[in-house]
Amino acid sequence: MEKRKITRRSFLKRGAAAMGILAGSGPLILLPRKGQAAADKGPIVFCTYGGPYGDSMQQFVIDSFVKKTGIQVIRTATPTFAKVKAMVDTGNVEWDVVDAEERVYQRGIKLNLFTSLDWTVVGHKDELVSGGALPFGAANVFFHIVLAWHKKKYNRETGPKNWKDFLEFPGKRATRNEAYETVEFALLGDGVPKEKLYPLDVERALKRLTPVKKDTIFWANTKMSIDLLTSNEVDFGAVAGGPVQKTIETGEPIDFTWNQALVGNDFLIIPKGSKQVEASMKFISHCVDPEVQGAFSSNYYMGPSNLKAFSFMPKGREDLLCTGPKVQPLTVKKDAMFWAENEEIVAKRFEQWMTS
Amino acid sequence: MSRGLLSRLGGIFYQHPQLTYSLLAGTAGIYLLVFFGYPLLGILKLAFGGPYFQEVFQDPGGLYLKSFFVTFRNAAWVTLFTLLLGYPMAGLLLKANERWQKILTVCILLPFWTSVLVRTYAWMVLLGRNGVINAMLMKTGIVSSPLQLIFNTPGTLIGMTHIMLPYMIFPLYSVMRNIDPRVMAAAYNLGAKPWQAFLKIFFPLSLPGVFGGGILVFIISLGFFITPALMGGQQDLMIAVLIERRVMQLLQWGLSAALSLVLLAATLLLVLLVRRFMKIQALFGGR
Repeated sequence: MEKRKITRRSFLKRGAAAMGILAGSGPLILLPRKGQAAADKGPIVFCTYGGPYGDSMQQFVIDSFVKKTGIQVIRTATPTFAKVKAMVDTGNVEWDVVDAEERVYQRGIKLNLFTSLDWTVVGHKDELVSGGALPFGAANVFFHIVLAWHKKKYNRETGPKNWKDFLEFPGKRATRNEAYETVEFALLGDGVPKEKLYPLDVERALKRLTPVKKDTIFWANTKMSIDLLTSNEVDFGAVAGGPVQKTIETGEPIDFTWNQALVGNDFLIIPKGSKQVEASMKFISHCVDPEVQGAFSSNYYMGPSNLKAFSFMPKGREDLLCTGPKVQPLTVKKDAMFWAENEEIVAKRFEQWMTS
Repeated sequence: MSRGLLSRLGGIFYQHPQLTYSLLAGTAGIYLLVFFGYPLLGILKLAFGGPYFQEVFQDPGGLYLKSFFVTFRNAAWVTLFTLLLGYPMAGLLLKANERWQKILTVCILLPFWTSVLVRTYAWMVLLGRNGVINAMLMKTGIVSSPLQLIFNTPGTLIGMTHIMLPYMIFPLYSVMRNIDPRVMAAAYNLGAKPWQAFLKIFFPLSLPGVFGGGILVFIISLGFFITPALMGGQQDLMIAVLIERRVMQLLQWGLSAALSLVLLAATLLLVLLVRRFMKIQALFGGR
């Protein structure tokens, strides 16, 4: 049975066609039919995160791609795993390229949700970090969760220096209202060496967190975590590093340490059923281009996946990024595979602990 | 031609007003059937696709049942608080002149037009440990260290009450407006004191508004997830927060469907109970 669906794309296309006719531009605009290879000229829909990150994405990645290729990119927010799955399940794929955390990548390939990448089209394979060029996705940026503090009570000397301090220092602290990250920090703070962090000993982490639970505010999103810090509602906390650094730029009295920062990785994937595979791969190629990543990471605080990107940045910039050669040894890499395999159980256990 | 047909049709509708009503109601019914009933079938299918109800009810950690309890408890508190704040507010709206009515309506609706993040931030400025209220309490020496007024259950209730107030005020107002002012005048004439007239005449007549607003606030409150996550504490994992996380992030759709159905069933049961209660009220002169 042929169902007529009005997707966001077809709606946009129809709108564009109507505009063209209205403008009386002469030649009739022929719209390629769904599923036809000729449709592969864009526009592509790129689902990524919003806020300053999304703005930098637009300015330093999307705009230069549109200028270079003429392929239009519609940016939308926010990537959710469930939506990708629902789109693929129903065959109504509205996103062509999705910014996906590595754990989502790992779960997604198990569920067969992504289109395999043709690395001859994407290119840059040898320039990417190891494990960055995968069959169904390309590593794009590295993000970091750091220990940050408000300067009213602490400074670089007196402030918390590691997750042990995070667990033991007096005052109010903040961390994510989920197991994801919070469990890692509790274990690192309890003295687990980073090589032995995974598989996570959840019970040990929760036991260690229990004494400070009453002095902890659990944040629900990045904006809230930054507000908690800047308003000094908490004295220190585990918060996303990029936004912290961006906030410091604006002169807010907060600071952070690179020590034991937890680093994760975003991948770019194409959902199975996208009608813009070719154009999407061109876009991914552009995203992992060293010059593009250099421009992006010179503006926003996220580490490039393309190791050549550092040479396209002003000197000293690499020391402000989580994959910079001096910073990277201080950090701890998140094991996305552990989360992809265990998140349901760990999340539930953490929720039980929260409410107990 | 077509005009003749139209006027004939109009005549039919004029002669049989029930037809108009059932047609209008039927449209809404079809809409519900397509956009609520059909997806609900899908949810039923998902929920019975595995031992999900077992997981909800036989969960050794008791996470879900506890969350249901917290959800219903919080919704009940919010209903009570919106009633206590909304009732006088609706009365004020009734007594105000047209100009003040406009100003008050805008004030009541203002939280609707404010993003939840901005609202939370505003509350943090007021209720936070360096906030206005704590600063006042500390300065006057009432407390020596800041009170925790936000990021706990009271925080959730404050945030939810704030946003739910309009849902209470407007049903109350619309019922109060239809109370014939002459019955109050009659009560005074017969020697009732103002509080007697209010308790014996005005309040019973406004009860449909209380129940209407109450049920609206209660049901919408059951589904809250952003405000409790932003303003609540560790204990405020309301069921919608858990469902959202399971749908969006953990992809446990079967379990989420089961949780949603339990919430739906519990809500329906409650509405039926209140409806019975309202019929009893009707016997006592309410409408």
